[in-house]
Amino acid sequence: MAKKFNGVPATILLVEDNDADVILAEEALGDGKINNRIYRVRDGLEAIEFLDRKGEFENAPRPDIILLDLNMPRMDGREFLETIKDDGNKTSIPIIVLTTSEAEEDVTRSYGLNVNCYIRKPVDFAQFASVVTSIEHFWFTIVSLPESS
Amino acid sequence: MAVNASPTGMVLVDSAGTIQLVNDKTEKIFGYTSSELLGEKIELLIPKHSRAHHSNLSKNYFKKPSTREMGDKSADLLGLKKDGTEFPTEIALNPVQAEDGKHVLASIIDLSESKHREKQIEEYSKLEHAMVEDAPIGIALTDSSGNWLRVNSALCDMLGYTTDELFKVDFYQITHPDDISKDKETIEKLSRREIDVTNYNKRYQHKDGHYFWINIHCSAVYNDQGQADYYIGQILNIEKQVSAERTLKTLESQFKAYLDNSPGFISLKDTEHRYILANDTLADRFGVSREELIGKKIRDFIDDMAASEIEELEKAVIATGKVITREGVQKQSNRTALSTIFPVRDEDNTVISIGTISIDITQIKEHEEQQKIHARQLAESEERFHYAVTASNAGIFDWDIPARQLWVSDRLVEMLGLPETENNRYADTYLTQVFHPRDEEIADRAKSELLNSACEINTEYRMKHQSGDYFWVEESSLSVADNNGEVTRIVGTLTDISDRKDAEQALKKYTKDLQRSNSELEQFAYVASHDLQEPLRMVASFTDLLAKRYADKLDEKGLEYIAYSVDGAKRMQKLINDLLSYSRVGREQKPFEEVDLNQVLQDARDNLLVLINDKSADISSPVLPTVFGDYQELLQLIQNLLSNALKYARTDTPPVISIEYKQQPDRTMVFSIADNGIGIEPEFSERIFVIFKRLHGKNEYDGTGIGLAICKKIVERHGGKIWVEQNQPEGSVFKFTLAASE
Repeated sequence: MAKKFNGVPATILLVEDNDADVILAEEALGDGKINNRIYRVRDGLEAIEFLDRKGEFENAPRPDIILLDLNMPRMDGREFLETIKDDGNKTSIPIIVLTTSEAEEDVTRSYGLNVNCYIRKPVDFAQFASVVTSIEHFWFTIVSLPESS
Repeated sequence: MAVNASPTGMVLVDSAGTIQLVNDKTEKIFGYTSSELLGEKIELLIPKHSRAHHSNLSKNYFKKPSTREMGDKSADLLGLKKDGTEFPTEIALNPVQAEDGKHVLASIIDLSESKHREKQIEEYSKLEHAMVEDAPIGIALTDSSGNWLRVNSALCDMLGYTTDELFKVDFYQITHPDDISKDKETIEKLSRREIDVTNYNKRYQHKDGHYFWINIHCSAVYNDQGQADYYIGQILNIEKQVSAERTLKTLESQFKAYLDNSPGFISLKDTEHRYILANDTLADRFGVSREELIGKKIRDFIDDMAASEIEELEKAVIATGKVITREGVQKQSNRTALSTIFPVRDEDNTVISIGTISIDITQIKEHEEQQKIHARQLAESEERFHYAVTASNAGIFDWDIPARQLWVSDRLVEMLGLPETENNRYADTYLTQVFHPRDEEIADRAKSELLNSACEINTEYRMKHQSGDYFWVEESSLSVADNNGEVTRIVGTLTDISDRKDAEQALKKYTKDLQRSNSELEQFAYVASHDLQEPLRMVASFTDLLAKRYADKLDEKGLEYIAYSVDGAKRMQKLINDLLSYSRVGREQKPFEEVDLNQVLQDARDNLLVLINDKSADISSPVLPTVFGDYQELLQLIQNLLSNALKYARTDTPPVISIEYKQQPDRTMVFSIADNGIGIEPEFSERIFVIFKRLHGKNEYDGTGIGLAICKKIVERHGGKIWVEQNQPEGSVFKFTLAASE
């Protein structure tokens, strides 16, 4: 049965190395109507460990959605996507890629990786916030998400 | 008495030398009468110059008289006649004893006659020797049994024997076996005196064995009994004649053969134009036999006018003694004949007959005409070829493979710096020497292909000039095969494409440089804008957040400042993005494909839906064609232009946009997007396409001024042009060209 959130906090995994962007994302998500629990990892490797509940992330919850930055050290967004693409467990989680420009969209698109959608990180915060809200609204209220295993 | 009757002259002389007695013969011999002589001295009968000698002899005699001849053999005894002539004598002396002492009786013989006869015989003998021995013909004398008695040197020479040798050889031995019977027969007849002279031809055999023909004239010398004592043969070597006759016969039959087999009309006429001789061809032509033709004239067979013409020519030949050759057309048959009329002369150089040889040259003439036409055509063709070759400035070669020879045009000789030859021919060994080492493989491959079977090739490679310089050529050649499929000839042109190659290479290099420069630029632009975006985003975002979070802590001015900062950052980001878009046009270098512009228009409308609805715009177009290009870029183009038309509409006037297109003769399309907006002054019509150049402030109309720059870049990448015109009564018409899809 598909999950629908109505007042239940959604778990968001934020994969982002830039602290400033984390603040912006939290601010934007904080404005939303939905109560979210935001978890943050710094790069693709940590993201995989989080999803595998390894190391320091033993007790990590399964995220309902992943907001993925592309440019990160150690393992960037593309590499993360590459690594998890054959793992059905992981790919069942919706991934939203946050890009700084359209160019990256093209690049990622051409890799045919399992990305559900892209958002450009807008300069205008208000825009960003509204985008994030739209996402929340779209993904968490309208769309049916697969059950977590 | 006895003395008187003696046939010899007798003289009795006493010891004193006085003549006592003479007989009649003495009178006759000396021419004296006896009375004139009696009592005279004997010296009277002796020549003066001998008298002294005689007196000696006389004295000696009487010392020891005996019967003997007078004198010695050393000298002739000469007598002196009454008329003074001296003559030779033979004198015999007999001593006679008379009463008055010793006398001598001299018997005198007049030798002059017999001497004379002797001389005559001697002369005859000489003459005979001269005549026989020196005769140019062979002369033989045999006895009645056929034994050689006498042969002359001519006969010996003829037979190749010496005289001694010949005497040892039998008469029949030197005769050809087949002729022996005739010889025998002749001898028989001669001996029986059936005939006493005859003449016939036979063959002798030379000492060296070969036979030769002679003519022998035989006769016999008969004695009083009528028997042949001697046979005489006079022999003439007729071998030359015989072979001459044989040669003559051969020549005659050869002549006859030529005459009969000649395709021409051959005839011989006398000076009265009567036929002496004609060949069958001529006789047949007139429908008679050769023999019937003799004695007739040509006017007996052809019309008078033609005959007169011919006889005039013949008269001219007789008169001038010169050969006349002429071409004439026979009216009735319309055939052309080449006639040669020539004089035949005797030893005095007088013209005694006229010869004519006439050959039908109708076909030859026709052939000649054909040849002339062909020659003219050939000359034209060659001239054309020559001009074409010169005009094309291409080197031409013609390789005769079996002959291993190349014909090379002047231009090619020049191109390769080959040594000049008279007829532009070279041994095909040159083919191995004229290629750039690295291009030999290419040239080889082309050659192999051509040699394999009749085909055409086109290729490029470098050749080497004799001076060592290399240059690029384009070869276009074909090979020709014979009936067996063997390639026997390759003909082609070599065009010096050095200039083109240089241009190509320069272009390649330039393009590479350009590409490199472009990609560097693009990469730079990409990286720059990308990396520029990050910090910009930070500034804008946090400034915005600042305004949001701490709005209550800021005064109006503070908020205003923040607003300006954020605005600045946003604009900066937009600029960077636009710059990035601009730089990205064509970066991926996607190959062109067929693009349906109707689809593009639809996508553009979808993308601009909000704006279209907001402005209540009306966009119309006919069915658009398919063009060749990049879909995404064309979408961007149309979308930008439409977006502009919507943006720069006049206030309170809904934009009405119409799209049109027209096909040009050269297959390109001219598209126009016309609006009823604010329009553009002509003086700014070019400026607007320059990146970031705007005609309005940001407060009036939004935008960075990159849209049209991007449009221009896209159109130019598609090989077209873009420009703007004023629309009537207001607005603008943006036009651009694109190549039609083929």
